[in-house]
Amino acid sequence: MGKKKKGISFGFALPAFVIYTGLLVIPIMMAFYFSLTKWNGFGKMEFVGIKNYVNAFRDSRIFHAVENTLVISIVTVGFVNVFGLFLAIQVNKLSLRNNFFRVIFFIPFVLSSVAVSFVWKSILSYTGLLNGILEAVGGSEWIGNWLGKRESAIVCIIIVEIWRILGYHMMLYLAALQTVPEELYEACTVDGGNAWKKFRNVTLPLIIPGMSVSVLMSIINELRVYDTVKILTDGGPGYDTETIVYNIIAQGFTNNMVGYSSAISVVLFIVIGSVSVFIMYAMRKKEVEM
Amino acid sequence: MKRRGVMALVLAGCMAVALSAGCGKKEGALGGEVAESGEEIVIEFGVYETDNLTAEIWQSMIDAYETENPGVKIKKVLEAGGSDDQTFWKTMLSSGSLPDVLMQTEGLETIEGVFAEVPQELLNLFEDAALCEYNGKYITIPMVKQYRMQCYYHKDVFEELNLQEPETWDDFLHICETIKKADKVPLMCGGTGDVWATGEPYWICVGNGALLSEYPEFNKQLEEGTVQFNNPVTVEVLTAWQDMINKGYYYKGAMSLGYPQAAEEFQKGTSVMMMDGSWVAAAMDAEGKDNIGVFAVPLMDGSKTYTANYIYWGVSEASEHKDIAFDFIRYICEENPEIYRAYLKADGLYSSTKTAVTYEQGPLMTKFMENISGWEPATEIFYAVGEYAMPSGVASFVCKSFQNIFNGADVSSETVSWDAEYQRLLEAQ
Repeated sequence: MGKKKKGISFGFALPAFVIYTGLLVIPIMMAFYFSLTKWNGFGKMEFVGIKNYVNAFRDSRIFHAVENTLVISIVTVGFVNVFGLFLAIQVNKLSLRNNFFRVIFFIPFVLSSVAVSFVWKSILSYTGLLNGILEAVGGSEWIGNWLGKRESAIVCIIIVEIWRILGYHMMLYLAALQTVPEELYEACTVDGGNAWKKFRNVTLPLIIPGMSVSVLMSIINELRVYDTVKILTDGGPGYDTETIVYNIIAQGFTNNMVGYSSAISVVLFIVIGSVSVFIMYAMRKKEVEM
Repeated sequence: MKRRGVMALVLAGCMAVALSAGCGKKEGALGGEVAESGEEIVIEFGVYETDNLTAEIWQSMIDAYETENPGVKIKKVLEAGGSDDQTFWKTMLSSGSLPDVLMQTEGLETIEGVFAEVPQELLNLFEDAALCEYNGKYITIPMVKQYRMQCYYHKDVFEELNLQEPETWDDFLHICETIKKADKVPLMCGGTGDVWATGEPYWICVGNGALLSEYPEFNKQLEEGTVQFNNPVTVEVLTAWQDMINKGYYYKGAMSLGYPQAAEEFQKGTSVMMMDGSWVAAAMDAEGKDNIGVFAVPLMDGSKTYTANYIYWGVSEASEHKDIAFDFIRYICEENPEIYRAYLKADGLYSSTKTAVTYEQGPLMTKFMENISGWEPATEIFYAVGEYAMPSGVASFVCKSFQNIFNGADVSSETVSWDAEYQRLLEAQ
């Protein structure tokens, strides 16, 4: 590549580099630095070494938040990927009806998650739509205190999360499905393959790159879940539905412990990074060359 | 090709510059636009709005000041809403966007350097008891006084069940039991999503006064380590509350209701009583509702202590027009009593100025004040100001703990956790 072309390439990359560095790399480095300090976010910083990390690993409230985040993540990631793929297969063939369903399934993802959470909050409240329907169908014993107890509140958060992002993952799988050449299915049919064999031997191996993206995005999103929790339960009842990011924000802004919250953020960053690398590595092994 | 390459470089450079400019902050945004000579000065005014403190209340202040001060523009900055308003202002502060005037200093006043020192002539307008120092400086303005919470009830149900307003704690429990036996719900509270609305009303009506009757300098003693949250009074008060919950005195779906929904359900008659703030009395009077009564919940030890707080305003230290910001506050509470009066009346507040500003109270607000006539005032311990203010985060933690207690957690374990969290936050801040 000539010097001029290199210069042009650099020129094109420069805006992205500036944005990426300014909005991501520098803040991450700053968060790491803050995590080694005792700082309320506004006054003087005091260097405390790894004390914040030690305290974080001793904090039972954080472990509770980790537990909640993992429950929400595992169930949501599993469901949106399995059911997202199923829906994508159902709406893969081009038709007016399928286009309609694609739009319907994708709409929740386009809507503001905050607005959506407020709507769900009113549906799930004790005097809300859900209990109204349940009472009409099964009587007053069917009514539930859905947001007022830990177990049901976590389930509510999971349902809202699935509802919100399912369409997005369906679209990711749909895009992957449309890269599979039709001839391979025809060849499989000629070889006597049934629907399951087509899926197992043709579809699945060829959509692994799309699946990697979908799984990775869903894991990253769910490990960072905040807005749904904030609006729907505000981490309650008590601390029962607090997630890691909810805890980070509470420690940083409610408790004025920015140094401590930065330490939790850095640990979360490392966890998300490690999970991402592991998934990329594991999925790459399964990819097939076209 | 050569021209296209140059063009591409120029365009890429322009994009980078434009984007970085977009990420930056407008010069002078903190204190409003810095006026060139003769240009308009902009003061940002941070407020929240409720059903009582409406946009019209704030706009009337803004319009009146702007009319009398041509060249000054007051720009309202509205808090996003929700139960975590402190977090909202703290994020504004951390991004360098704290408004010049803030009508709520709670949680920020203990952070050094956030608010500017208040001029003596402005402080002179207010009751001496309302003033408080932080590190030897007066940085907050006690704009109004709020008599906190009492218990509202449906008069028709009290009449139907032949109930009288309670004189003692036992009377109160008898009322709850009678209502329960009549297959009605005695009490309502808010729950998840509005964390404060679960236990704070009960704490203010019953616990805070009882605690301060026993430990008049509780916050000071707590900081000195001579008393703990896990003390007999707190445990007794909260155990009594949990007993009430276990007996089914509270609406069973309360934890799945936000505060507005809970308040609406009470007004619809789903429950007979609800402990709530003085703003409810103001709102009921404004709507002309006469089916609701109010009483001060008798304390368990028979003492007569009610909770009242001042609401403090502040001027940002970073404001480029502090003098105008302070003048705006002075204008509201001294020069234009009509807009001050409208503000007080709208939310059932009282003036904290040496020259009292009064308004014609409706029947419920009048009753609210009569109920505590002759009672001793006490500050709410979690929102105490000055030297012995609680560390930021304690109030939020305790409100969450109230929800745990509501759902059956052991009271002693919870109050032990308050002490642990208090120590952790005290050391951290």
